[in-house]
Amino acid sequence: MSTSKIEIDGVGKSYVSGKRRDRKVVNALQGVNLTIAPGGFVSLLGPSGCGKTTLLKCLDGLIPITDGEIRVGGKAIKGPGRDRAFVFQDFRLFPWRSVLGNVCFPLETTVSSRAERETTARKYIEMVGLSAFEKHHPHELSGGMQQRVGIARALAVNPDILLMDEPFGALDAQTRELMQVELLRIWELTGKTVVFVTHSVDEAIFLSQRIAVFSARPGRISAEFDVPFGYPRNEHTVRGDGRFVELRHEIWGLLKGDQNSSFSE
Amino acid sequence: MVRDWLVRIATFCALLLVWQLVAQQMSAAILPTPQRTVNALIALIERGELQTAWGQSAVQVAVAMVLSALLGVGLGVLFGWYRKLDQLFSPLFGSLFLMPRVALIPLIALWFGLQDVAKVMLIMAFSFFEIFFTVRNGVKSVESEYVDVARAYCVPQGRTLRTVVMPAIRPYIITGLRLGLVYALVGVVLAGFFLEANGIGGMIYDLGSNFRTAELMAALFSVMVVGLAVNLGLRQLETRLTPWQVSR
Amino acid sequence: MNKYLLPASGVAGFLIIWQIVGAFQGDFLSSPTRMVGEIVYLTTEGGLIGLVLITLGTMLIGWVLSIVIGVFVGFLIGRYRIMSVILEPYLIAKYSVPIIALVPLLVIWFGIEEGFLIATIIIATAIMLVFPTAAGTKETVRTYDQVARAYSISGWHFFIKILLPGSLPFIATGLRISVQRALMAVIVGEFLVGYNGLGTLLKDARIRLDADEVFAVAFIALLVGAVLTGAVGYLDRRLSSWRPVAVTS
Repeated sequence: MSTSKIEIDGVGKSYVSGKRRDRKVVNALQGVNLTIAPGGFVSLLGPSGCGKTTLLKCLDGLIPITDGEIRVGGKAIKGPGRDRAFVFQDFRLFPWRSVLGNVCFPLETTVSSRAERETTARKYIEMVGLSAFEKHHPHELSGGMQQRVGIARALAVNPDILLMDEPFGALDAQTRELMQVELLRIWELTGKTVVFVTHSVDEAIFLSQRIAVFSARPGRISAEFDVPFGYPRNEHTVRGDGRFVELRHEIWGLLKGDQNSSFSE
Repeated sequence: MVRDWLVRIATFCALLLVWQLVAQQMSAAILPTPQRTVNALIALIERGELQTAWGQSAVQVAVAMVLSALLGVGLGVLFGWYRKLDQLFSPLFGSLFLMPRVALIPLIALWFGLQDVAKVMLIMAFSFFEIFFTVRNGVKSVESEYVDVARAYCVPQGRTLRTVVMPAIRPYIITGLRLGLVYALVGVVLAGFFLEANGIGGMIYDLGSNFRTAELMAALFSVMVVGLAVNLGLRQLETRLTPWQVSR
Repeated sequence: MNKYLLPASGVAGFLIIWQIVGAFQGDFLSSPTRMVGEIVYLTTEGGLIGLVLITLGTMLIGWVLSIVIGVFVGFLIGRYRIMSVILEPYLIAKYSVPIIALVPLLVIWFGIEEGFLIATIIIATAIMLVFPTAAGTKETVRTYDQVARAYSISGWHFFIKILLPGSLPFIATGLRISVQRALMAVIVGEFLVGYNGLGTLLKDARIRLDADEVFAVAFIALLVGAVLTGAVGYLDRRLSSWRPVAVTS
């Protein structure tokens, strides 16, 4: 039994793109190494198009990797598994199903009793604070509420790992901060391992224990940072802390340098 | 809003007046007066001719629509879901879709004669492709969005098709059926023109060739009413059945 | 390369099967070779090229007139609310009705010559340009009206420099969806009154019911439809190239 939950070992992902004449191989990921401890909260941070979302989808098994190996709990993954759950940036709720129906969806293949499914689903709907809305349909909910449903759906399969792809990217700033606090509360409550993709430096620092910073073309991890704050975290104390400002400055410098070098290419 | 309707009513009355004035200067065989047209409509209904014609056409359209709906939705889902199958057949189907469907009339006459079977085939030539392509494109467009969710949660393919794809394409099916029915009306009219002259198309053709213009205009008016009712009614149904989607 | 393999094999498989079945049921199914033979015969002996050109010529005249009328009415509706109030009920009614049913009435009004064919095309297709143009005009006015006023552009200049280019992608959409209808209208018209063109070929095939001719005529119509659609699709992409998102419906 290894002490790490997820081991990303020399992972590469390349694909062929472009029309007939200017066909070329794009290295979306190259030589990515990262280990994540059980119950950890790690952010993948970088500019758009750097391959962080690709890595997350590879972690889930939605996209096959072309190089290296990803091990979860010591075993190499072959495709999507029920030990991992994916939270999509654009929510991806089924508009024809109610909140309850959406959260029940992933349980339908494993739990045969409808009553049992609904009991489980209700538990997580309550956890994200939407009990009063379980009969509503997605189009009747705000963006923040829809993503709460997305999180409840992911939790419903009781995965070890939550893979979150810029889950708050489509929300306005205020809702976003609220959801960050909510997510930390749920994380502490459930003890899941969370891999969180974001392009916001502040969000990454506020939420995670560790931050892996990506650079683009080829996508790889250029630096890792430990975040020096304990939990539970509070918006005001963290953002006011001198170490927050320092870390933020350091990461920004790194991202900026990367950006300039990619401009001069 | 009230003013808008006043303007509309006023222009409608003006239009009727212009029609009346122009028609008075002309032979009734070219342009009958509004009064004559209304009388012709009443006469057509009283003699039961309009009902008979529409009855024949309705049966033909109904049979063709049931067949096109079954085939169009079935094949549409199949082709949308299995990409290989789609690539194999898409040039054949696609080129048929680009062809002016009237050009199939001689072929249909050769294979199926001029009677009801031939007419159903011609109507299907119009309605099937609308349904098929709308459904196929629907399956393709919901694929990336919703099917990924099912994959992420390890839902097997067959189940994904049943519980994710089928409900997701419901709006496309309804839109396809609406378009199919609108085109079926074109088909049934042309069937009356170029195959056996019965139904509403045949009636319009006969009235036209006999210069019974007042009755012709009355028959055309009935086509307009049916077309409007079909289109608006099914649009209502569309928004009713899929409240989450803005109608296309 | 791989992308074209499956479609090509689909077409090839279809042609081979058709050829084999056609060898036994030729009077009913014709066959690819017999069809091509018939097309060659029609070209050399039947004046096929001339007939196609007549149809295309009539169609283009009618279609261009439809575009002019449709775009003009579309501008009026998009620019002046009163016009949209007055005209929209009729346009919606006309839009959901099989216009082709009007053809016998048009015969009575316009006779059986070219004027009738052009009237048929205009009545069937002008409407397809009205709605996209009106939508484009409305959007352009909404977005740029204040810009225009800020820079004191008005009247004719507003039309030429802002309204027309702004609505162009929408008009292009109208062109794309109306070309097939224009072709269908002219063929139906010719078919019905026996005016020289593709329609007469159809009429002849419909009477003689000779399998080779029936397939040849259908294939020619398919070819004409495909070429027209391809050409207009190209035009559409060129006219809408500045627009990031393609306009649909």
